[in-house]
Amino acid sequence: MAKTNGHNGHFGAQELTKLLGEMNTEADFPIAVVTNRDGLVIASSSPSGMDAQRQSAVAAKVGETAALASSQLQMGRTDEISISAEEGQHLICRPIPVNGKDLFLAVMLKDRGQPYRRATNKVIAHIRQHWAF
Amino acid sequence: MQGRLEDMAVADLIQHNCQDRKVAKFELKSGARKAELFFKNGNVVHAVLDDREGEEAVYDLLTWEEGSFDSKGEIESPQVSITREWSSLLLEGMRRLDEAQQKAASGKSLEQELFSAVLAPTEVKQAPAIPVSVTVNAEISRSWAAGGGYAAAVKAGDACQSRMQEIADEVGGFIGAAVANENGDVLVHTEFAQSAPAVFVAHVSQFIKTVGNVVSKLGAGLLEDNLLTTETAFLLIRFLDSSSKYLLVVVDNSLANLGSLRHVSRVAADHFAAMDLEIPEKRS
Repeated sequence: MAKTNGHNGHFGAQELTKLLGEMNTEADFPIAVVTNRDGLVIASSSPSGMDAQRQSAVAAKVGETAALASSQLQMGRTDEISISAEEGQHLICRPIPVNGKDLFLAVMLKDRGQPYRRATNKVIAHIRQHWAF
Repeated sequence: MQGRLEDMAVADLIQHNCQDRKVAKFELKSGARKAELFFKNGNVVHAVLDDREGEEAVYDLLTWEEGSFDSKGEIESPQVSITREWSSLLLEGMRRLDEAQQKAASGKSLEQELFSAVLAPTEVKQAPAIPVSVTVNAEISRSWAAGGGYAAAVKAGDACQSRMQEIADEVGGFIGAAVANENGDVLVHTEFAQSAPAVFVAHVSQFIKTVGNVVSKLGAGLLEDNLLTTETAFLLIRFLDSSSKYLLVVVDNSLANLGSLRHVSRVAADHFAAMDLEIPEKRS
């Protein structure tokens, strides 16, 4: 599932997949994906077996549209998009600025009250630290 | 109905039962503490917690994060100690909770702060009211006047004004709010601090369309709410009774309390959903 994406250093897609797996275990997320702006899955982990390709496409589309809206409204960079649907699905999408481009980290929550900021911050910091050049 | 407060917060329990409009008695337990809540005609009419009763008991109860609740059935309250509308009761409770949490950082416990707020209300600093100017879509205003006369139109306009004012007063860092439809028509709006309401609504409507499409592809049903967090602002989008209209609230994220924002927007969205906010040409 994991694919490389032109990053440098020793922190590759395999390590990122492992990191997402650890985050899912720690924070109890059913799925986490890191995607680029085109919706290409860079890494994913889904203990529940959810479709990472679809999740990735959704995250990229939502993230791009939100970034456009934030920029046009002159409200700075998008930090997070939270979407709740009636069927009880809660999707969090967080842009990760790396080398002037946005990647997106998307996680699904089991319920709205589930903490996610600390866990996702950790992964974002890791990616930025190892993938920036 | 029974459950854990970890799964259903006291505020949600109150809202759920008030919207059900049933007569009900609930017993709540947290550790050794016990409380009772009585509901009737869509409001909380009586509450008891330790040696306190009435509104103050509810405010204390809102701090409970763990414990259990159990419905005792359709039992009438032995007395009426609360006359405040449920939404106003929760908003006041949230305001006190918010203030207590901010003060707790100064060293006192949350409970100490809440007690001091309850026992010494003169010490509670009210957030300064920000007067908001509300505009209702002209077509809708004319439709109200045509349907129920000028007085009815004024009354409906006043209801919009007071609902928007409540949002501005409660959330902190208020930038602007609007009710709009899926076509990007602005139905009711306040002034926005940074841009024209129509500009906000146009961009947000586009965003919603995209999100709606992808959520639909996920088979997740209708959207309930979206929160867009930027470097400077929270943009909360809450759908009314269907996904065809939504309430947008924009606040400065360094000043706003997200919990209050979610709560007050939910209450306001319920009120706007009950109003006739159809543009006449677009009636089916």
